[in-house]
Amino acid sequence: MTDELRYRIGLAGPSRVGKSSLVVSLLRDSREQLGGLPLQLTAADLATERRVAKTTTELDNSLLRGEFNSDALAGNVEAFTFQLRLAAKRSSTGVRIELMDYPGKWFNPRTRPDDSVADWAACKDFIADASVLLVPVEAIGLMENNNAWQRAASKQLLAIEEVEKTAEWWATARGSYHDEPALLLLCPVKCESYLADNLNTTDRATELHDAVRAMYAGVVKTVRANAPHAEIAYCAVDTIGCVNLVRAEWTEVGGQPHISAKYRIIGPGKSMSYKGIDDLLTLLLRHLVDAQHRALEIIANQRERAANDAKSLAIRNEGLIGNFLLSISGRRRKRVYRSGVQREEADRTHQQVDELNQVIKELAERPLSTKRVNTW
Amino acid sequence: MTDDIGKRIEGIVAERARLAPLVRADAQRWRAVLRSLLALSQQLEQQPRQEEPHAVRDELVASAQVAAEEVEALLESFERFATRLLRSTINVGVSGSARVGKSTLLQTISGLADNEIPTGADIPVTAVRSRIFHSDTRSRALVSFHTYASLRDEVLAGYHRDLGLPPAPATLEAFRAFPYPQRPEDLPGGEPSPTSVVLLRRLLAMRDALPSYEDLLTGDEREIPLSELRPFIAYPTHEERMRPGHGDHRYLAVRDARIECPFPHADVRHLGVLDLPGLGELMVGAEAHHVDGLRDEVDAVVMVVRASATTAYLRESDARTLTLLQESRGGVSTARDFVFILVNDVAVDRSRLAALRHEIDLKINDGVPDQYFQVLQADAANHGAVAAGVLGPLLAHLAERLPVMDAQIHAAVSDSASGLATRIEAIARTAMAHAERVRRSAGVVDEGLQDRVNTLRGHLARDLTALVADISAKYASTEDGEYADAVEYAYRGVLGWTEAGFGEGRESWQARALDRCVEDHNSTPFLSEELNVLRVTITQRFAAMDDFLSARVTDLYARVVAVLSARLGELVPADTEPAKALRQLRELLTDPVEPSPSLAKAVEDLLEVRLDFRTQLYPRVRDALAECNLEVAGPSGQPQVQVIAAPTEAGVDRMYRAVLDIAEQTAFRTRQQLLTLALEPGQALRAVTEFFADAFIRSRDSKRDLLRLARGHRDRIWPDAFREHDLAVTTASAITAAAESVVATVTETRKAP
Ligand SMILES: Nc1nc2c(ncn2[C@@H]2O[C@H](COP(=O)(O)OP(=O)(O)OP(=O)(O)O)[C@@H](O)[C@H]2O)c(=O)[nH]1
Ligand SMILES: [Mg+2]
Repeated sequence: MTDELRYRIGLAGPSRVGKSSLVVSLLRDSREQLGGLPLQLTAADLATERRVAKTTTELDNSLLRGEFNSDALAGNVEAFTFQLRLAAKRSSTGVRIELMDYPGKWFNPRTRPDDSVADWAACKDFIADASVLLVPVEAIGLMENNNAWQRAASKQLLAIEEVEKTAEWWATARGSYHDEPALLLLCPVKCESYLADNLNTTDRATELHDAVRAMYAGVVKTVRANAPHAEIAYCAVDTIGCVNLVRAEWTEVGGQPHISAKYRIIGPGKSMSYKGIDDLLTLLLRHLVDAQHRALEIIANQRERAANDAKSLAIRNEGLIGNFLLSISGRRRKRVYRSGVQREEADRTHQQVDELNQVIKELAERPLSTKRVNTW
Repeated sequence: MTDDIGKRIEGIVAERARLAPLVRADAQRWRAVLRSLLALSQQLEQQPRQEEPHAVRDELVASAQVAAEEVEALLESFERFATRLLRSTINVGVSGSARVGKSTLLQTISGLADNEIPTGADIPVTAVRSRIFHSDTRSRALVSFHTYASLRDEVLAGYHRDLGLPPAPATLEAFRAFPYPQRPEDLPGGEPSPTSVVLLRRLLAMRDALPSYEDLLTGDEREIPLSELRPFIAYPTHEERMRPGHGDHRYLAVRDARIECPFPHADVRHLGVLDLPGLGELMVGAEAHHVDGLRDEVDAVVMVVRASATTAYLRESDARTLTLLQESRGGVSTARDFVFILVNDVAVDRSRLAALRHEIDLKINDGVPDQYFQVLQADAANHGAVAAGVLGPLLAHLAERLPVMDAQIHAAVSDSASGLATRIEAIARTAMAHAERVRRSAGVVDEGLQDRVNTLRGHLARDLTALVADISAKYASTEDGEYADAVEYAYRGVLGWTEAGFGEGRESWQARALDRCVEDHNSTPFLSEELNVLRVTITQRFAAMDDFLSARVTDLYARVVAVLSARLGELVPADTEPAKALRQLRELLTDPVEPSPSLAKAVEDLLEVRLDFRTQLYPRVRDALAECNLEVAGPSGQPQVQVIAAPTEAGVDRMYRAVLDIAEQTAFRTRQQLLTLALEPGQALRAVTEFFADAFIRSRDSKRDLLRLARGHRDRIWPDAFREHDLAVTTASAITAAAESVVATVTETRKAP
């Protein structure tokens, strides 16, 4: 019997919206990210480790030679499930986190290749099973639209209809597990030009926030309706950070609206300047730790009960004959032993719960950026 | 004859000469009356046709015209009287049937010989009415000739009229060729009268004789020696007539003959005698006219009668002549003062003389001798007898009676003048009343104007409201494609320019950059300058939107002008440049006489709309443009240099790309910012339009001001609409003025000279 619980984080976003970048930004340098907390988020398998390393390199490469090259990060061609472990530092047990990244073009029926229908079905199953729905929001299209056509185009670019549908069945699935926490995360990305807390100076945070709220109103509504207990949060993330939008151009590529953006590097320009990742992680961890805490409490209680039962069984007086037989057969010894083991398990779980209580307290105290984070 | 009479006659002539200008002055005043009366009648006729006053008007016109004719007649009387007064001689007309000794009497009085003034035994000799005046020094004849036209009008026309022929031929040639009936039976009107037989014969003779006198139809006046005068004033003698070509008919071309010679009775210097030919015989129209003129040309007429060889009775023609003379005495109250009968005491018929005188007393003077006509008796051929029996009593009578006659004539003319004046004044007053009626009936027009202004306001309100709605619809929609296009155009312009190496080419730019940075050992001065230049250029490129913005304003003006010109007509010419049309309207509205301040303000405000990049949009994109600076505010507000590069090839390459990025970013942000302002120019125009509409049609004073405008420029707003009314009012005023002037001129005539 393993104590490890499994949590799933589902992604909802069309191609090029910034899913992979967001995931990698979350995972890279994870120790650093969790800074100070008695928690560890680590790759749980080699594939994940490799994948993170590869994508990190690709992302870093987009900043070569003083220019930002958005082609450096290739779009995914197949789904990949990141296997992660979140554990309290001193504890061998923890939670298993699974995060599935997939080619965004599967997400949108308009761009979904015919031979990917089965793949997409698997993705849907995964998402339905996830307690967190992470929705990256492409901020450029949202912010740089000036007319009706462009507004419609940005809606299409973000595949709002599809996000709404996804949110609907995700929430429906969540709705049936009232005691399991659920979290919808709306994460604007490519938004560094609109926030003034990193390297840029233009502050359009409120505008961005309002635009997201307006654009995803339907998503929020359906989640509210189908999973009233779900938490909903907004968190703007700079995955690159050190760039600034020079200009953006709406075009149509293969019948699909497309916005091509030109950036310039600002600041020293040598490396990424993440921002908001901490906030995102905090939000995620609060959710996960809370979930784990609740689960562990249940287990601890069960184990406490089992240990007590075993102990009473071990010391139970079964009468002269009964006691003799227990002793002769060694069963009492076994019972005593079992009782001791169960006591230990129960105590350990209690200890884990105590540890998580501490983490929860710390997580709750961690400050969140007011510009980037908002909850519904 | 005494010197005394000569002196008195002289005195009479002098007194007349004094009076004449006064009469002329009266005539002059009456001529003014005539002019004003004609003007009045003309004004009345011009009055636009309207139902009710129409009959009144027609009556007025008719009476004014009758009055005008009477004034003309009066003027003629004045003229005649003045002519009479202006004569320097006392003229005595000599009349009488043929063969009674008329010419003999003339010869006797004038001392002229038979070859000068012919007498004849059997046939009538005097063809031309000659006037003979005493002259101490001269002996001559002044003959004035007809032109064909005067011949036609004064002679032929009368014949044609009396014979029932068509109007006399217009030209000499036509006369020559005129198809006259050759026999009296062929004359129109059936059975010819004896008179017409004679008239036709004479007329044909005049035509047949044309070759003998046509050369003389010059209208000239010629002095002819008395010895050669005869053919010009007398019919051909019998012998002459017998000659081929019917002899000499030059007298036919003579209009008038004035003979001057020393009279034997030189003590009466101011004497003239007039031969009055054929009077009482055959009167053709033209001759009748001459008789009419007698009363002014002569002061007295001596009708010569003579007992004929067979009878002592008065002839039929003598009685007719007397009647005519009686009638022609004009203002002279009694014929006794004017007509004298001279019984020619010719030896051969002395036996019948007494019988003749008796007959005259009985028939003409009704049994009382000299009751109606004074009868003289003398042998016309006897100088002494004529002097004592004719000239003596005649001149004595005239010396006494002429002033009376003149006064009578004057009184008669003055009487008819004052009667006429009263009538004319009445006409003028009636005309004034009529004009007043016309004016009153036209008075309702001001209400008509008010109605029209109300309707106009209604239309303007509707149109301007529609315009506001239209402008709102155009600019209130979420999209303003034209504005976006204008922004896009400016933006593309900037990008095109940056892509072309800021207009100079990348290499040139970089070379310049390298030079400067090496020289300065620093990139900052160059970049700082360069970015400033770029910012200015980008700003200017976006300012090109002014064309678009001003087109918007012009478009608005054009729409407003379209609305206004549809309702205000040519006050707001639709074919002029809109702003100019509005400025013209503003001028009209600030008219110092009838200003419309509220409307003027509305138009003024509309004209002052400023819609341009610099004032409207620039303040809103300043921040975006400020990005194009080397130093910008860093994340924590501290100034931060955007680009630093080494003064090397690679450095300037990086610099170029950085500057390019900054420029493009500035342009992009400006564009995006401008696009968010898309609605503002439209909103501004919308507000302006609303404001204008409100001010123009809804403001407190706009009603009053619109009425003022309409009053001042009624006919330009509604051409034709008020024309009839105006005409009526104008005519009414003109009629009043004309009538007043008639009254004034009439009043003038009443003033004593
Ligand atoms: N400026 C900017 N660019 C970003 C950011 N995040 C992602 N990108 C760029 O967006 C592009 C797409 O990012 P991906 O993470 O590959 O997007 P995706 O959703 O995984 O796309 P698929 O794999 O096709 O589904 C890449 O070129 C990234 O460099 C960001 O925060 N800022
Ligand atoms: Mg991806």
